[in-house]
Amino acid sequence: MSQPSRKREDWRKQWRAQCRRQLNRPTLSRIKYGFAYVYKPVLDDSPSRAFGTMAEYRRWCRMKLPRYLGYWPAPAQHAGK
Amino acid sequence: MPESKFTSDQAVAVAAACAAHQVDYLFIGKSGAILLGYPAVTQDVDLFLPKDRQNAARMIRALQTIGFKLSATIQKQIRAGADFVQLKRGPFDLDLIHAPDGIPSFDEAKKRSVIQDGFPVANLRDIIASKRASNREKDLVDLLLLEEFRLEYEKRHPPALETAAVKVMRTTTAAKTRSRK
Repeated sequence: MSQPSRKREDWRKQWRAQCRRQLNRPTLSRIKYGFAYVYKPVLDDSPSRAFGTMAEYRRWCRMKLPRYLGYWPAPAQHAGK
Repeated sequence: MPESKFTSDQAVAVAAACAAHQVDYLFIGKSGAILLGYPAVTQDVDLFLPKDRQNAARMIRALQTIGFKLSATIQKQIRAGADFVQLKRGPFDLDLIHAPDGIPSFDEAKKRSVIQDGFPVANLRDIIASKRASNREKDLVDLLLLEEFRLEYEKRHPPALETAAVKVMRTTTAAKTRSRK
């Protein structure tokens, strides 16, 4: 097996094992370890905001948020995958 | 700036308040997946609501009982069924979503939903479909991980079989909704 393929398979095995461990945990434990606050510029700077449509929200994300936050639309070759 | 973090006590409080006020809702997004056992971390709680003024009014009352202070403007927008409402200064960060990408109907999503220890959560396949439809860069890695998680999850929770006709109707409705947006 080539090196990159072996790495991909190991990664999936480890991830699946982690999924099984998490599935064995009670729901309240999942919540306890599943939520964390990390400040996001612009996004966390306003107390609240509302968008009439999801298209409006997507436009706002594209215009206002720094790209590194990941809210921009995915490049065309990844769309819908 | 307050550092809001969704705790298990708050989760129980949300579910209790929504039950007491008879609010119809579903946990969706990564927060919903985490409740189902997805090993990840997120910041916001995402709740899917039907577009219903009375349900929205009940949700507003429920949120107020657990410490959310909602301006008149935001309350008006929630009642009007704004597709996406972000609440950032409450006990925890909360998104109220009336029209999530990739999920054409609350009623259909509710039929497929699960109750995870008292928390109503959208079906994992709906959560994944919504993330795929939203097409954001940040979700590209999550989608890969979510699909692997789904395989493990469905070993323990096999999905209900659906007829071919139902499947065609579901995918056709989703495609029509996407083309309208």
